Amino acid sequence: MNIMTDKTSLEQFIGIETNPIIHSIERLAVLNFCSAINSSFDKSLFQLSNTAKRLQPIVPPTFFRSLEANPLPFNFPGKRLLDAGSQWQYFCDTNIGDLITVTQSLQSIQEKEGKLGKMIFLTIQIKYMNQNKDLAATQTSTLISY
Amino acid sequence: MDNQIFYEEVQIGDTIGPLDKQVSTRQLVQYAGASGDYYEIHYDKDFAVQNELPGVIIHGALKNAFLGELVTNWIGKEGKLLELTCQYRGMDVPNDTLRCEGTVSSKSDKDSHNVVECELWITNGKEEKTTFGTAKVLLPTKAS
Repeated sequence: MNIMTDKTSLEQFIGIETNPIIHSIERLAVLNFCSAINSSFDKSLFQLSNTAKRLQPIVPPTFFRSLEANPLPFNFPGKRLLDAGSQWQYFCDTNIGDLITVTQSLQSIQEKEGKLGKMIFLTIQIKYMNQNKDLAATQTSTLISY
Repeated sequence: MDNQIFYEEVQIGDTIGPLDKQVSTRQLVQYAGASGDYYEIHYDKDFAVQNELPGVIIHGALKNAFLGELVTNWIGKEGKLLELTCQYRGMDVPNDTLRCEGTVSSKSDKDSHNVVECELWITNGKEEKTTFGTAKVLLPTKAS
């Protein structure tokens, strides 16, 4: 693991994907996620998942958050890390029993001076690919290290 | 098809929600377990205070999940979520009421794709908008 302290030293990692991790989408994990977000998500959909004419993903939109990726090959600079937000894109349905391969990579870096001092904005993209090699979703997050 | 919304019925300016959420510290622990986000600022008060926070704070990703639920409830079983964005501009604390709402900002049936775009936000009990987002969805038509 490399300890990086500034924008320039982090730039070498842009675009390098982590080794993949394959996750099976398990019913209990989805139910636990729904319970944790106190969701009104219709649990009866699980019983219909193989036959229902359903166009939206069977898993809640941000369930992918629970699918861990291998860590990026550097430590974040600064003492603190702030999650500033995410952009999710969905390309195909994800159902119970699917196998999702997760990778992540650093997409870009910006350095800014703010009231908290030097802040480094890191854009990180996580890709979720299903067993048919179709891209199911991406999550592009902005993290602020300061 | 109960409560299914159709593209033809949607007008720019239509409201989405509200969806109210009251988050307890128990729920923060539950979300940490379900999502794998074990950053201590979300469940360890001493750790949070040492990090110059007022106490434990709600995971941004949990608020993101609430906005996702708001949208998927609205589009119904035959709608399709294409894109969801979320920006965290303020911290929220447990035991507050978070109101999730939205409004339709545009619609387009170009190339026979019935796309609707929405603005989303979360307001806390102090009437502060702390979280903003957008969604892009496909809606069914009555003819389809």
